[in-house]
Amino acid sequence: MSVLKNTSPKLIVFSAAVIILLIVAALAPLIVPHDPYAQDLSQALLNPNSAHLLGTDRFGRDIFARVLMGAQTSIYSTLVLVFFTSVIGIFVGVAAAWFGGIIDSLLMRTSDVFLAFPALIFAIAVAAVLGGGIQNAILALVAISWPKYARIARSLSLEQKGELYISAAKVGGASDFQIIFIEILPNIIGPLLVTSVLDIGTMMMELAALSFLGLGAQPPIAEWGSMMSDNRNLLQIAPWTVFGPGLAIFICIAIFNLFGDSLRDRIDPKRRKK
Amino acid sequence: MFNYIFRRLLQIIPIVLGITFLSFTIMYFAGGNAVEILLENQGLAVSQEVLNQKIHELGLDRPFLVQYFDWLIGFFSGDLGRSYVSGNDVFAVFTSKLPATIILTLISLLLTLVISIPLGIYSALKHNKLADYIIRAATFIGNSLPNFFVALLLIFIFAISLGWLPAISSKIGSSGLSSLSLKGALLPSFTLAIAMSSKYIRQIRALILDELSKDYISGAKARGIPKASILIKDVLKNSWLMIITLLALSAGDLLGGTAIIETIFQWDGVGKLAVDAIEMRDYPIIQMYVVWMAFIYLFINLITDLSYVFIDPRVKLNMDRDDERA
Amino acid sequence: MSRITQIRNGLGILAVLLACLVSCALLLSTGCAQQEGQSSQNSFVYGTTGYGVDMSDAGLNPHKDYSGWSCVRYGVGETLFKFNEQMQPEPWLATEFKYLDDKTCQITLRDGVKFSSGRALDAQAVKDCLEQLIAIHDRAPHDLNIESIDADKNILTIHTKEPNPSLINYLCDPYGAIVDVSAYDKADDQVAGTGPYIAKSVSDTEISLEPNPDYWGEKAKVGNVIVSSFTDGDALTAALQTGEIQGTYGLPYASYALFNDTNKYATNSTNTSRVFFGQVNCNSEIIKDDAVRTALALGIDKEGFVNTLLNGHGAVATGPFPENFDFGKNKVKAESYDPEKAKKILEDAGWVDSDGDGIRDKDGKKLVIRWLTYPGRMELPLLAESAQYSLKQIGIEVEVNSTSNHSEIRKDKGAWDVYVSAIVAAPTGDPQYFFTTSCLKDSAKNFGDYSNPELEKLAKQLSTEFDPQKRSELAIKMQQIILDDHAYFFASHLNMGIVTDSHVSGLNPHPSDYYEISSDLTVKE
Repeated sequence: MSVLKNTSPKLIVFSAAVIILLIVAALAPLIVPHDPYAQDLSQALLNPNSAHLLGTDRFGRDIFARVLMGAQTSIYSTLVLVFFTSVIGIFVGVAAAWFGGIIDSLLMRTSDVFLAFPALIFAIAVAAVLGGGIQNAILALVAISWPKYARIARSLSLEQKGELYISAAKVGGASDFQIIFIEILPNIIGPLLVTSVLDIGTMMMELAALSFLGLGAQPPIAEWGSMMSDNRNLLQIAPWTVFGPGLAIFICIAIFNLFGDSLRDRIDPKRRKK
Repeated sequence: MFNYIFRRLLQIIPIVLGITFLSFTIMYFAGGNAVEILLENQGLAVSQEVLNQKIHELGLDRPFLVQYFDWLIGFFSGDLGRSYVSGNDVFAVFTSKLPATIILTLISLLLTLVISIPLGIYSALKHNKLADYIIRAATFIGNSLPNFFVALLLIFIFAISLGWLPAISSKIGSSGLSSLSLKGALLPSFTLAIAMSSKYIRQIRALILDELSKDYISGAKARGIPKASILIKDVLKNSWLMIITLLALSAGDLLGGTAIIETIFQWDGVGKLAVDAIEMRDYPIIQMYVVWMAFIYLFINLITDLSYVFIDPRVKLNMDRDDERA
Repeated sequence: MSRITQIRNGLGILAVLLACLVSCALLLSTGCAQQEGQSSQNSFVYGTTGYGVDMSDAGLNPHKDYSGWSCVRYGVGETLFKFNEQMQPEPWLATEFKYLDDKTCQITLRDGVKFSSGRALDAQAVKDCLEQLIAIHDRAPHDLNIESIDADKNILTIHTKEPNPSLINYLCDPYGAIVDVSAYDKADDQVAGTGPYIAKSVSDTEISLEPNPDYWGEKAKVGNVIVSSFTDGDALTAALQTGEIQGTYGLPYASYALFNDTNKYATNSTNTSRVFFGQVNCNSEIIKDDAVRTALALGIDKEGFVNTLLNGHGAVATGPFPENFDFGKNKVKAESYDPEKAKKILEDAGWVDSDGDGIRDKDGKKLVIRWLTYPGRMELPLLAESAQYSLKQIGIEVEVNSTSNHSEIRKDKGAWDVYVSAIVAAPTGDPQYFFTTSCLKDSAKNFGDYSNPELEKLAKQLSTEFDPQKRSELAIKMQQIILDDHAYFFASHLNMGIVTDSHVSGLNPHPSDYYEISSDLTVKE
């Protein structure tokens, strides 16, 4: 029980919130009150009422059902996105730090190019190449976001590289592969994990932004950003069609941010002030 | 020192090469071309000969590498080409949109400072009191709202419901600088300032708490120097550099134009220009934009690196210092 | 270095940065910051999504791309003939025409017309203009097919290379706006036209107009008209609501509901021949099945699309041409929405749902239709999404690909089954255009390689038939052929609406989409 003792009540509460969110998203197809894809033009643009908690859109689809369904698309896409971004970034960063020399400069110059490239523009261009769709939006964001992790992983690894235990391992005849995976990674993974958890909110925003520009999820897929963009010109006539998914994005990002903050306090209290 | 700056500026060359080649490649493989897209917009049919003729005039039927090197040679001889869509000089088009983005950047940074410095300080002074909690909760909300949602909310409240401010920011029918007005700039700059302030307030609060806990402050307090005076004389002075670094980084983000905000508010800046250009496959404009972004990125990095030297003169300027800035 | 110095230096950097930005901004701004001093008492600001670089109609020079549209739309230029509401040519700068033979047409010009440059409009001026048109314009040479032009005082004689029954219709196309080519000022795209308004200034985003004091007809009544380009429908809506503009062209459908108060706003609309339609890909195996094409036509809820999704701002289409044409909607027959019948037809053809997943199949192949369209016209994704659902109800799975890259993808004949787009079916009021661009073997926009020998035969007849009555009859027959083949389905016609402040009158949309501002435009105080 010592784990729980050291864990702040905040972290427990927010972990629970995240878990609930993930469960709701996973079970969305089972718990939606209406079929989120069923159109009924005679029911178009109804005000929120007891049958339709958040009203209906122009196709007569239930907004609440679509928001729930959208949780699945938005949350799991974001998790996949953050996972791939950080894994690729960490891999590159550790490699650059470990091998040094020309590999290091080559990798870091490449990451410079990507860092200098305007992220949204890159994503738009990639979406234009591959066509719209949530997978392609994820791909685009992974391709542009990895350098951030590469840089953090590189500087953390550099700190480790000079440590005595690494030299000891080297002398002990450990291979590069062993040293990286057994010695370095476990020592740097904490701060990186915190960074990626804290990044979930931002990534969710960026993914939603791409969908908002029409480059992420394609209709009729329920996704928060694209719902907001599709209904944007109904803002005056049927504001619920925009604010429903907007509120969902906000709540979701807020929960992940709170979770990230409390996780950071737990794992990496030194960085709190930074 | 100057040698260092010169070498840093030289670095721009490989980055510009990399970044422009990358963008050229992506756009090339994106397929489609400005000629056909323009015609589709009109919804009228044009014979294949006319189409081919126009494609040929723009040189779009040449091999990919030839097109890229042609552009590159033009670039280094100072000719950025003409827009495929409007036929206007790319540099002129770009610089006509730049003031809007610069002004939006300046106003939103100013707003951010005006909001975040007092609130950050106040929050730190009222550490763990009600006011502190309220401010922190507000920054938390600000941090969790996507900016396009904030934009729509602000439009809904201030433009539609209250009718105080225009929903579209640029003046009707004009473009470039003449289309801008202070009133119109308020909503987009607030949208941007809300997210930035949320970040800044937290940083400033943390910084001041940190300073307040230092020995020299307790020393000053012990000597009976008023709190306000300590605050202004010492704490704030020591926080300036961090704020400047933050500002430089934000300015770097903003000067690229915030495509979504510029689009929502119809603010005629470079972000909107870039998004439109991608849609129309207007390569020369896209390239110009990408070059501008590379320039901003390197310039801001240089500024922040130099500012570290001022913070701590012991920091040596080292070309290969790849710090954890991201 | 003391702390104070550090801070000074830090502030210095900030100051330099800000100074750079400000001076940069100021430097760039000088020269483009021109503002109208005071607004004329009687003025009108017109917001339109139809003007601008993206529409390739920026500027007023009729000989460049689509700028002729702007020249005619905003009352600067006029054509020899103009369309009436039924899209038939009527006299404008010309008073009459007659065919001397199949290849020779004699046109009499109106007397007493002057260009705003001061030059009188005579046959020589028209000849100069048309000759420049066919020398530099992209579409006009092929459309007009002119061999030579003779000018004699106010009689213009046009010789065509082949018999061209649509010559007069094509002369109504805005590229045929007659301007004084000797007075064309390339620097700012100013042209000297004959219209009720003269352009004071022209940019890619704005045109400022003043009355032409020497206009040959009724003089313009509004002292200053500003046409301003909008690229965003929501911005246009907001601008009309706040009163920044007093008239709009191209308002989003959803916004019309905001301007229902007739005390404050006036809405005028008309159906145009811009049609939202689908063409099938005849190379696709699944499409070759007659039952599938028929079910497709039966399974699209056009009424629901127009009435609910477009808020009634459109007209349900049957064929390519709307009701106001002689050979329009009511003269042809097509399937209307009937899901039950569609199900039966598919059933009879052997398409059944054998695995219970809601999608029909036959010989192990699922009934999946790949629907290619693009988001550039906001109606198209709505139509796709609506059809996707209604077709699913009859057991057809629709995979929608709505992409701005459609023009590349449609070249790949293996990548799509149905291509849904929008086209102006009769820009010249004449039926021939639609068929020659979209339905014949060598048509530029026949992306699905549809062909029907009977149709080709009729098209040949149409191209040499001069009698309007007979042309109509041919057009009706030809429409019925493509509809009976289920090679095309026509969802709706665009309803062009102009919403204005209630003080504004005399600004009405036209079925041709060519005429907007005229001397009828009035602003009440």
